[in-house]
Amino acid sequence: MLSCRELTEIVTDYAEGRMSFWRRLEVQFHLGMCHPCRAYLRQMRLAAQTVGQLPPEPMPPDIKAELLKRFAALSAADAAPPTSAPPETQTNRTPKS
Amino acid sequence: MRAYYAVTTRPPSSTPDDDLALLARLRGGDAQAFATLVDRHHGPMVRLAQVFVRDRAAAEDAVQETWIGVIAGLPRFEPRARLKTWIYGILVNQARSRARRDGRDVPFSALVEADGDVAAAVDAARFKAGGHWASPPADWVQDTPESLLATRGAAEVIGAAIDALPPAQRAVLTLRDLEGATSEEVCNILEISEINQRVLLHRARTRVRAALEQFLQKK
Ligand SMILES: [Zn+2]
Repeated sequence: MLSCRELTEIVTDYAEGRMSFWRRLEVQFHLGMCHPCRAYLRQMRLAAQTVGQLPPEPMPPDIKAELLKRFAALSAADAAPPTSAPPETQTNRTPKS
Repeated sequence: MRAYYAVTTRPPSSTPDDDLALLARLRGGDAQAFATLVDRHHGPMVRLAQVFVRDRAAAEDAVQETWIGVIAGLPRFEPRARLKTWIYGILVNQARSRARRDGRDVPFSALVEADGDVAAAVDAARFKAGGHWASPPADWVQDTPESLLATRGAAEVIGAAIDALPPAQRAVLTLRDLEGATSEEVCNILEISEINQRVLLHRARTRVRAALEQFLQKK
């Protein structure tokens, strides 16, 4: 029988659906009978969801303005027909300003 | 170095339509779309870069360089990978080359190995000998993200808990929960196995939950 202590170590496997069918049944059986473990699972989910809803941190306006300038410049240049650029290679990964 | 976005095995058909629509707007020179994209990802991007570089200023530089790279790469980007995966792949590269310049390059795999967090999810003292709860978690009055975030100080506690995570856990939690990436995307961006990703996520969420529990108990 799965203990509460064991359950706290595998809740993420459970939440991620990375568990065998029988293990999953075991967890569900335990959760069905154990209020504290249900609370624990809820709190783990809530912690993750709340991280996802933290207030956004927008980019500082001066940096954003500069990027937008670059973006506009490139879009303008791009209005010209594209040159036959080589297919994407790893050299594209470290573009320099 | 291997291109991060090439790691993905997703067929092009699985690229969501909103990615394609956004890509079209960006390529069409839609500044508003670009500004929104930049703002939406700024927080998580700075946090992820900080895993590699020495301070916040260096992280913000890496983020800025990333967007410059994104702008330059947009015409050539092939939507076989998610836009997000591509952007974060560039960020990891930028952050790592910045770290190298500062003489502190650490490959992510080393951070994963260094993650010696063997602490139990919950302190052993909270269980009886048989493994059942001796000191069970209390039900939280705030049981939605909205009500939790409406609690004064909760957002700061969560932010501090994330900042205090060991780097590999911080990277995974940032991408999964702050950015909202899938486990597959996280594995591609950080080049780690699904199991490593899950173990790190578990440890990270466990710590954030524990920080919240402590905070709510004191209230
Ligand atoms: Zn239990």
